[in-house]
This record gives sequence, structure tokens and C-alpha cells, in this order.
Amino acid sequence: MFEQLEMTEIALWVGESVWGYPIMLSLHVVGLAILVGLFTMFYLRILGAFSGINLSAFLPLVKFAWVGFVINAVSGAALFSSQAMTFVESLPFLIKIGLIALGVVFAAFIQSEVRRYGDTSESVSVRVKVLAVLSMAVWVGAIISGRLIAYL
Amino acid sequence: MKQLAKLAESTALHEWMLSTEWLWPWLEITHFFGLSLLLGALLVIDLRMLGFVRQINIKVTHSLLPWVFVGFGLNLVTGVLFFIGDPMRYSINIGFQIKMGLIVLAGLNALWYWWKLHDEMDNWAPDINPPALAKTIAFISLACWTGVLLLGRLIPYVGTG
Repeated sequence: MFEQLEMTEIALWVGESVWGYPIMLSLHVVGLAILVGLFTMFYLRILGAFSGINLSAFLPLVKFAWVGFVINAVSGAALFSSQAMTFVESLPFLIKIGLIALGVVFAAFIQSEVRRYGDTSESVSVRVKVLAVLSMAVWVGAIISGRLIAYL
Repeated sequence: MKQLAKLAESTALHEWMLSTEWLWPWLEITHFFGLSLLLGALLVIDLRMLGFVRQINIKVTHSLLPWVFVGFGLNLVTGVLFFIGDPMRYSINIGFQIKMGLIVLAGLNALWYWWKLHDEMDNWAPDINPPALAKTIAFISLACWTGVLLLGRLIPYVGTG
């Protein structure tokens, strides 16, 4: 299956054209910054930073963080397709995918909790705060394992 | 730039960068985290300045500025170390040179904000749709930093300037 994936047109373009791979890598950094950056700001707010901003006012920004996620799902899939057989055997890659899955589940849960609070937002539950800390650690872990794909 | 590169190569830091195992990837990871903080905080500030998320009081978005500076500081330190570690590669790289130009441009743009808008902002309503000048400055800011991110990742793939 992964062998066939490497033979698809998009995989060949990413893997063999001069600019395919670098363009996808560059987009992957922009998506990462939007995703991890905005989620980090959201979680810092949950933990009590810049409390002048209503927690619920952050929700549209969190939507924008998902734009970063889509950019990285698409660019990541393109990068993956070009060397699928190598990636599926890379331990840091597999860890990274696991951490991203965890980060997404946490984010969806936190988002739905905050939506439930509505505008009366000031008492964030301890559970949500703990999840916010864990989520930040998960995204940092995804960055670490992502970078180590090139080294291990 | 060439003299700067030569100077960097003669430093003890240069030796340290080359001889310390695993240092480079950890600095890269820090650089990625720093750029996330920088862009994340800046997105909140600049998207509001562009007129989005008006439920956020525009003056309060500035409480995110310290995170922009933390991200910038992390990346300044790690970035200088990359340059010292491999100065001959970076100094002649067109991607690196344009990236540095864009960072300077982003700095000048921030000064433009400071000069033209910062004081005026005190009179703005919390839910203001900012004037065209504010939107222009916010747009330039996001465009510059997006360019910085794209070019930074392209450094290994582009040629010499």
C-alpha cells in the first residue's frame, strides 16, 4: 500500500521535482506556527494569563488554529506520500502522529468545555486546566519528535 | 557579511556548536517553539487589528506582547548560534539574506505602529473596527513574519546570493 502511495502523481511531484518537497516543508512550518501558536495562547489564557480577554472571545481564534491544522494535514500528507515506506518505519514519526492524535482529542474536548461555559467564563475547572497543560506538552512533544525524524 | 562570518568562525562558540553532539537538533526544536510563540501571539494582536474577533477589547490584545518578545528572544539566541555554527553557509545564502531583510522590515513596521498609532489607540472604543492604517500595518506584519517562516525553512534548498 505504501509502495503504491509513493508512486502516485502527487508523491512523485513532492519527491522528485526541484521545489515540491521544500514548498511542502515551508508550508508545514507556517501551519505549525498557526496551530501550536494559537493553541498555546488559548491554553495560557485558560491557565490565567491575559485575563482581560474573555475566554469565550478566544473561540473564533481557536477556529483559526484549525486552519493551521488543515494546512499541516495536507502538507504533511504530501510529504509523507513521497517517502511513505521510510516514514512508517520511523519511530519518531509514529510517536509524532500519536501525539498529534492526542493533541487533537484534547483540543476538541477543551474547546467544547469552554463553549459550554459561555460568557460566564471565570471559573475554569481544574480538569480543563490540567488538560491545557498536558496539551501544551503534547504539542511540544510533537515538535520534538517531528524534528528528530531527520536525525534518528 | 563575509567579515562577520570569518569572525564567527574564529570564536569558541563556533567550536562548541560543532563539537557538541545533539546540540543542533535541540536548538532547532527551540527555534520551532519560539516561532510558534511569536506567530501565535502576533496572530491574536494582528487579527484583531485587522478587524476580526471584535469581541476582544483591542487594547487588551497588547497583554500578549511579552509572548511575542519571548518567542523572538528564543529565536534570536538560537538563530545567532546557528549562524556562528555554520557562518559560511548562512552568510552567502539568499534565503537567509531575504529572511533577515524581512525581519528588519517587520521591525520598521512595528516602529511605524508605535509612531502613528500607539498613542491614538487610547481613544479607541474596545470594539472598534480599526482604521485603514492599522489594518495595513497589521497586514504587513503578518505578511513579513509568514515570509520569514517560509524562507527560513527554504534556506537548505536555495542557492547563494
